[in-house]
Amino acid sequence: MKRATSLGLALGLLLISSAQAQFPGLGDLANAVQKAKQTSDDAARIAKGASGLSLAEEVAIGDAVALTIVGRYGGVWRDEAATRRVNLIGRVLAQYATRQDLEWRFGLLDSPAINAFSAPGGRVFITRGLYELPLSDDELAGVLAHEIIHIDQRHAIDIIARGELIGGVSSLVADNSANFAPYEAIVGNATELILVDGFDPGTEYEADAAGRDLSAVTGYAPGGLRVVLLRIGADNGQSTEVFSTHPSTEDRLARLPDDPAPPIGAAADDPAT
Amino acid sequence: MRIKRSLVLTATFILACGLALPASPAEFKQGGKAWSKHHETSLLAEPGPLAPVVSTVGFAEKLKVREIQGAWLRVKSDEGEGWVFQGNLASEKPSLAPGAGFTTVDAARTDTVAAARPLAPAAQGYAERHGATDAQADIDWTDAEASKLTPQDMVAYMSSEQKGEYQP
Repeated sequence: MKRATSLGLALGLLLISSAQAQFPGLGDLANAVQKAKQTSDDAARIAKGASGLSLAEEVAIGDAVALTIVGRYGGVWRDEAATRRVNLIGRVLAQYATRQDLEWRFGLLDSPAINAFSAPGGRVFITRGLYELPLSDDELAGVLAHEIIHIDQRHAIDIIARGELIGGVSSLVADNSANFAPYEAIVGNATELILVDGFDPGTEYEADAAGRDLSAVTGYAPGGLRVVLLRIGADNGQSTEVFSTHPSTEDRLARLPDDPAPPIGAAADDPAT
Repeated sequence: MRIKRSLVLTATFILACGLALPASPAEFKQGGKAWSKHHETSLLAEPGPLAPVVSTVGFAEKLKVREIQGAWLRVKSDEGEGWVFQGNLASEKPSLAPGAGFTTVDAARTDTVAAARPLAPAAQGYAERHGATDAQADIDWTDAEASKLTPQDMVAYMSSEQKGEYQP
C-alpha cells in the first residue's frame, strides 16, 4: 500500500532492531569507544551527547537537509496565519519533549503532497496538502508530535553519526577546514534517508507511539494522528504522494491504540492573534 | 573480560539514552524517581500553574516522587518539596542541558521575542554551492515568522485551550 506515511513512528520491536542496527558487533563498538577515548575528554563527551555529534554539528547537518526539503517540495508556503499556528502548537508540544537544547522551528511546504518531515536540529515541515486536509488542532498536534519525536530521539542523527565522515563535519563546523566533501556527503546521506528511503518501520512505529504520548501529556487528544491516518486511508490514492517514506497506513493503524476520535472541528481560535 | 564488560555497559548506556521517550503518566510511580529537564523548574505549593513557588531545582536533578494527582507529581528535592506538571519531568536523567549549545537559556521565561536563528554557517555555504538561495530565503522567512511568537502568546493559548499545565 502506497499510503505509507511520513508522520513518523514506533516501538517494542524497535528496541531490538535499533540495538542490532546500532551495534552490529562488539568489535565495532570497541573501536568506536577507543576512538572516543583518543579524541575527547569527558567534558567534550558530555557536550556532544549520546550521538557523538555536538549540537552545532547536528544543526549544521539539519539546516542543509532543510534546504533540500524546501527545494524539493515547492518552497515554503508563506502563509503567516498557518505558519503561526504550526509554530504555536509545535512549540507547545516541544516544551514537553525530552530534549530541551533545541530551538524548534515549524514550517509549511507549498506542495500538494501529503507528507511531513523533520530535519535534525529542530526543524519540522508539513506540506500544504496535509495542512489543508484540513487538520483540527488535535490532528495537527498528532502529526507534529510524530515529527518532533524523530528529532527528540535522534533517529536520523544517530544513523548519520555511525558514518566514517563525521570528523570532516567537525572540522567544517569548527571553521578550520575548507574541505566540504565530508559535509556534502553526510548531508547527501541524511537527505536520502529522510526524503527517499525513510526510517525503518520500527522507528516509525516508535515515533507514532511516543508522539501519541507527547500529544496526550500536552493535552491534545491521543487519537489525533490515528484520525489523520484513517482520513488518508479513505482517500483511495487520489493524492499524488501520501506519506511515501513511511510504512503502510494499515500497519501504523494496527499498532496504535484504538483511541476515540477527537471532536470534529475547525482549528481553535488563537487568543494571541 | 574487563573490556567486554565495559563495552556491554557502554552499549547499555548508549542504548538507554537513545531510547528515552517523553514521559507518559504511566512512567512515574509513587515512591519512584524523576528528573528535572529544564534550566529551572519550579516546585509549586499546589498542583496548578498559578500556585506559589515553593522552591526551584536546576537541570537534571534527581527527584523522589511522593504523590501523584492526575498529571501532577509532588516531588522532593534536596532543597524542598512541591508539585510539578508531569510534562516538565523526565523519567530518565536527561543528557543535554538547555543552553548547552547556542540556544537561549530558558527563553520561555523571558518577555522578549527571540531573535530568529539564522541558518548554520556551514548550511549557508551549502546553499551558495548548490544554488539554493531561494530555499534559504524561504527558511529565513519561516524563522522570522516563528520568532514573532512570544512566550506570552504560548501561555495565552495554553490557558485558553487548557493545554499543558493548564489542563483541568
